[in-house]
Amino acid sequence: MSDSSRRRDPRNQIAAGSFLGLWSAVGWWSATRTTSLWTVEYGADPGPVLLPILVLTILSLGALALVVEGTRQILVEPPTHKGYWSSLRRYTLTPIIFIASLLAYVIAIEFIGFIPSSGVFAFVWIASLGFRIGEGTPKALLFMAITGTLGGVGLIYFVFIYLIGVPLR
Amino acid sequence: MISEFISIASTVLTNPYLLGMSALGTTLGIMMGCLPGISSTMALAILLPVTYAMSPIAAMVFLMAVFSASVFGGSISAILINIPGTPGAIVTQLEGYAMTCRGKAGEALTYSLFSSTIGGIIGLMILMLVAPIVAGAAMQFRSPEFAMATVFGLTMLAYSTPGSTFRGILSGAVGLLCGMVGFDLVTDVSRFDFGTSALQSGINLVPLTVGLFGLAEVLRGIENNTTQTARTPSLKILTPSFTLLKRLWKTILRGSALGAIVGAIPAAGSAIAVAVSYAQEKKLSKREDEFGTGVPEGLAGPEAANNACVGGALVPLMTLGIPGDTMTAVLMGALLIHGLRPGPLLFIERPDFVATVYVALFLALLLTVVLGFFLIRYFVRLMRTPSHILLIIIALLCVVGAFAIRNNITDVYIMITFGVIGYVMDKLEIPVAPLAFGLILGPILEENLRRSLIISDGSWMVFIERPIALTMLLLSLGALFYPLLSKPGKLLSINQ
Repeated sequence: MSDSSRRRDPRNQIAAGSFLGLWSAVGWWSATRTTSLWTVEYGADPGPVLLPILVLTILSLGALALVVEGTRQILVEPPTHKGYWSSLRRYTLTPIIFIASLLAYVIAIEFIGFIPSSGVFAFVWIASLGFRIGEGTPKALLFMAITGTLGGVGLIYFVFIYLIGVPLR
Repeated sequence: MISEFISIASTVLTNPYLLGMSALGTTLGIMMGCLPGISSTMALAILLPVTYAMSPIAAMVFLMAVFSASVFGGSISAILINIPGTPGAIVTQLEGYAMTCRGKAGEALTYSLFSSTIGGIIGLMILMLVAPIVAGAAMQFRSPEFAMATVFGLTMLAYSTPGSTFRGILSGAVGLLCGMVGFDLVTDVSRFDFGTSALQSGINLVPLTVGLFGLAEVLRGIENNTTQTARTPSLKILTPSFTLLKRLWKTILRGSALGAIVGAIPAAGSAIAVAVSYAQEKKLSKREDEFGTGVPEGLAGPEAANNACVGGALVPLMTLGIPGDTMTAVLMGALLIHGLRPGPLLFIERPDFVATVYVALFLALLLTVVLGFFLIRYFVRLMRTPSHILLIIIALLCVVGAFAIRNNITDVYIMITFGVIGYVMDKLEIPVAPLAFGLILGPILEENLRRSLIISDGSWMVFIERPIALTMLLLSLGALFYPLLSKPGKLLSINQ
């Protein structure tokens, strides 16, 4: 593989640097708010602040380096591929909807119980994903969604709730 | 150790419950390994919560079976539908799928099964021989050596994971931060808890690994959900040709030895072992030009290497407490959950448990042959399950598995959070495996780092004055700066 084909998009460098920078910013913010980390003496022990400082410093500098390198690359050679962000948005829409529905499902477990909420979640997603990939006739789609839901939820119920005794009802 | 092994072997082999656990783990391991999109790591992470209610011995028997069998399972999909189920099966598809295309799918699976088993047994023998020696040497280790061994393990993983070493290091740093969440064990000061009681007890390894390796994979699968049911070929003959197996014995031995050695190197992994084995067999073969068209030697060698890696990868885990790859990282998490800390002391304090690991692996290998041989047609049928149904079942498993740890809904939210983080990191081409390593190794690193500085009155020279600690420090620095030295100026932008 040639070097040029292996070169990352500079926007990826900036995005990755920003993501890691966010972690370090949140880390510094939390660490500086914990006064006992900085004020209490622990004798010979360097204390609970040593590793956070080391790790956050490495993370901050590393994130900064990625952002600076990405910016430098953009300034030197602006990227020609225009649809970078829009392609990211397009492909991540279904996973975003999936996560939102997963959160709703977890909340629903507490109110309507494990079996009904799992059944609805599994049925809707198996049917909609099957529809998206063009899984046969509506009848076949429905059959697959029902059998997939019954099989999946039934298996999990049997293993985790019946055999192991996980208190999910 | 031999007497311990025989004693434990007789206990396990005469205990129907433990035998059942091994058979169940083997069946689930092959099933999950052969399903495209489910790696061995994911199988272990998803099934880890099943072991909470078990005793440590039963849990290890079950998980070792899943671990070992999923490696073989990964080869089934590589051979039949040209999709490797696990990273170690990448090379298997070259010759295996070519054999399938020539109508020899059954033969290819048989060679894979027997080579894998022999490789696994040789890997186990090497583990049994080498581990006590390494553990004996590691008894000389003190806090500075353990601290540097942890740094070495983290650096090697960052160095070897796909993507850049630099990003791997930063991912490991995020993992270390996650490992610091909650009460500091020495001073009782709570860190990074954001004032919430839910985080004061720390981030449990299981929701994190289930999220990173399970839910994130589901999200990727949903994003790319375009494939329908896999079309699997008919298997026809499954009986091995003993003439050919006899011809392959040197190949299998070479692959096994190579796999066990490479597997024992922290973070080297099975993908490297199988690639080296394939290249070696190609070089040694008189039919070099025919490689890629279904040459059994090109299948048997890498398959033996792939399974021998299992025993090899357990060497650094059992002796130093450093997981060699993501699969052993999840296994280490399982040990910690059951109150067992791998390392040299385990060989002195719990020789029975060490022997259990050996017996569990041996039993899993035997059961893989038996169940693999008789049930393979059913496993192949399972591969016809539509991928979107599997994805949704895995998502449900992730939710229930995360909840099952402490019967706490907060763990489910943590799992979902790390699922999203793993997905985003994948999009941003930041490797996720070092994050899980950081979480596991963070507390060990911190404990030994602080203890070292206490005994040295705060002098960092303690890591330089001790030869073993210095060696590991230099090796870590070498792995860290090698990309910079080999390709100056391109550390940040090029995949290394």
